[in-house]
Amino acid sequence: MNREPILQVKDLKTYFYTEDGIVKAVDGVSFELYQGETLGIVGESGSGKSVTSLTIMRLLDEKARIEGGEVIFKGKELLKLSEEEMRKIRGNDIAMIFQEPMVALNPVYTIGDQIMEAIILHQKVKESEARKIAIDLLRKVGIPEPEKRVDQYPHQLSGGMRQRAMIAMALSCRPQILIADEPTTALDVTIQAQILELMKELQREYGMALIMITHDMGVIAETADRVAVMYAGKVVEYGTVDEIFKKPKHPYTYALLSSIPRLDVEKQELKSIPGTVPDPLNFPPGCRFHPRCDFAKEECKNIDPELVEVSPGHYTACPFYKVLEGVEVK
Amino acid sequence: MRVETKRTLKRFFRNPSSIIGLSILVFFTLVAIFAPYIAPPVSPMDPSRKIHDPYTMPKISWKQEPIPPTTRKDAEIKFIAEGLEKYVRKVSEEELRPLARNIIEGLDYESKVEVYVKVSITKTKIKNYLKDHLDQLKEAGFVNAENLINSFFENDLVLAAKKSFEILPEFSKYMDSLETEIEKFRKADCIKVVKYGYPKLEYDYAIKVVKDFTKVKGDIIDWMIEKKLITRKPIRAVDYHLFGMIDGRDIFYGVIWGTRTAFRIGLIVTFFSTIIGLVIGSIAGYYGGWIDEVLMRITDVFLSLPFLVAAIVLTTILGTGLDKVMVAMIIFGWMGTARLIRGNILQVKEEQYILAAKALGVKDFFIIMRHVIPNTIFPVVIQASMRMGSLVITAAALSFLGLGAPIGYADWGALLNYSRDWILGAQGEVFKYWFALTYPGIAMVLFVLAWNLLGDALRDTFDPRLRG
Ligand SMILES: Nc1ncnc2c1ncn2[C@@H]1O[C@H](COP(=O)(O)OP(=O)(O)O)[C@@H](O)[C@H]1O
Ligand code: SF4
Ligand SMILES: [Mg+2]
Repeated sequence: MNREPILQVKDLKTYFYTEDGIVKAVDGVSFELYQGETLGIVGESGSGKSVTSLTIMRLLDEKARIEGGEVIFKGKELLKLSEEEMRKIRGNDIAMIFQEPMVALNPVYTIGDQIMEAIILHQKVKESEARKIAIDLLRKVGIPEPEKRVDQYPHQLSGGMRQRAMIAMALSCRPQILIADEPTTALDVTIQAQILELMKELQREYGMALIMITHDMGVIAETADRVAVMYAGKVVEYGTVDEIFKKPKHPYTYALLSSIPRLDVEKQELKSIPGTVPDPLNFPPGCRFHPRCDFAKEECKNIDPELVEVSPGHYTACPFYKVLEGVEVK
Repeated sequence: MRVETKRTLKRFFRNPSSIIGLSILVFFTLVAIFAPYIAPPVSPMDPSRKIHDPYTMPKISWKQEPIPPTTRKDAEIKFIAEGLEKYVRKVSEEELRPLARNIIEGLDYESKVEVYVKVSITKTKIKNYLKDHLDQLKEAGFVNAENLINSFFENDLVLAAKKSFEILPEFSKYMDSLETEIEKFRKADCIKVVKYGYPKLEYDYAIKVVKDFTKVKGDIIDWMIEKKLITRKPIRAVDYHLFGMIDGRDIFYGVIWGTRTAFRIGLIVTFFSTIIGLVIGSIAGYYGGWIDEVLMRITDVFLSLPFLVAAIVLTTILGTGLDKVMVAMIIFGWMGTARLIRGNILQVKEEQYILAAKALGVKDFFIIMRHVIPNTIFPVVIQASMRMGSLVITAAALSFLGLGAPIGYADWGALLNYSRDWILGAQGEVFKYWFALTYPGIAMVLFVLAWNLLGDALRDTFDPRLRG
């Protein structure tokens, strides 16, 4: 695709300086996001997905330091903006929704109050006007009886309803990019599907670009156009969803795909990736995946694999990706 | 009103401790508001009030400048007194000076002092007076006046004085007023009637202080309990001094006006120290990093200074007085709030709704005001209401050290401080001076209790962390 990406992340590095040492939570992440598209970021918990999104939004706490890289939004380098300029971008241009709808709403305000806060802030409208917009948004995200719900407190809503309210809040200023950090992880499976459906619908309607962060390959298959697979702070594979699912070029992606429960296989053994995500204080030398990699070779301990383009738009960080050719995803 | 608000209010007003606490506070508030009607201050503009003063001595006086008599009664007494002068031992100026100085030093405002000196009037003196005026008596038609005089003084002095009415009307008037004065003094425990062979009247020295209000700002006067007489001893309830007197001042007046003082100290100090604590604590907690580090170390420094020592040092710089003490209490009273709010903010800051609000581009200021404060403020409000009470006790402690309210200021703590010498009562009468401690003590205990009950009730009702 020759279009200009709306958001471009280049070799992003975010480290946390903790008492125990330096946590290299994000250590070389690059991807592009195009208008109207969905980029899936997938990886096990602890791989640095949330920190990546918070770095883009510049919402990191004081322990964190952005060590390198660029985040270019419509030609603007976000990491170089002043705090005030960045604040104007948040919500207005790039919005974000979070994993835990239970705690992402302030318990002391009504749903309406919280949606209106953002509307009044960015659109400079009167309160009565903002309330109307808020009710419309609630209707749009599929909340029944929005006139009533607008005056309810978060604890009066179910988890799914709260996530819908969160989406309404995030969309209140018609952002061009929506970052959804595990938006369905905390929800029941049936509600997950509804929320994903809603998000796809809204994305189409608003023409937004979406960054869908998840640990669930199933969610990626549902929503993403393009996928960045993250492991231990790095993007290990990057490509279109078709390429990634049909021809994975990294053993980690392969392992993730193998762990998706499949409905078409009877009596399946749920395969999970052996071992655990490495301690970010103390990454293994060489390829960070080697202690868990089924295809690891001796030299994997000494190399520092870079992303290389294996086919147009498809990158992998495993120099031995060819071993996966012809291997069926189990 | 929102359902939730209604429910919360209902819960609050069902709470017994909130009802008790609020009732007491409403009572105190009413007392504070209506203090000028409950215990009218002695207005310097209204000299007639002085007539109510039962402790005014007859004016046999030493003074530097003659002060024109203000009332008819004064004038009459003075006339008689001048006539009696040479039969009365005049106290020398040297004797009076230290006395006068003591009084002036004990005074709380600039004042002019008029000193009335002890008179001891004996039969002999009056007899001699009458004898010197034999001519006058004879002129008036008392032919054998000498026998008359002698026969009078077989009996006691007061009777003699009464009988003098027929001879010298003015003299009798003087004795009448003397008698009523003596009666009042006797009731009030501050006159000794001693008998040596002959009946003899002897006053403790009595000194009347005439305030010169010209140099005092009007509003201060109301806060001062007027000094009615010079005696440290508590005097039990007499006439309209319902609660008795201590240090020559009306306890009732002190208790009523002390309510205002208590509210003033509590509200002002709590308000300002809470605001300072809130600002410092919120900034430290919200921004974290080196700002937090710096602010918290400053807080530690303030906390490490012992409060009383710091207050003493500060008042040596600022000077003493209740307002200075309040300044000291504010300067050294915000740290608890700062730490509390910081801790709460650190906790709330981790909440996702803060991150969500930031992700929506909400300004820091609004995040603090709308999201952080409402979720952290209740412990602070509760702490503040608890502190309201205890601040009154702290202020009392500072007054006790001589830093706070001046002597005679309408303040429960100050009243208790005067009373401390009389806690043990008199010989054989442990409870003789019970009133001196009891009334201001009850007021103080109730005040502190009320605020604590209110704080408890607030916590039970509103603290989101205790909410199910
Ligand atoms: N505020 C923080 N301080 C220190 N370490 C952090 C912080 N936030 C995240 N990390 C570390 O960064 C790594 C990546 O975290 P995260 O991005 O949340 O992973 P995930 O992919 O599950 O979203 C984790 O190992 C985590 O321990
Ligand atoms: S480099 Fe080696 S260890 Fe790393 S993914 Fe490839 S094969 Fe596995
Ligand atoms: Mg995460």
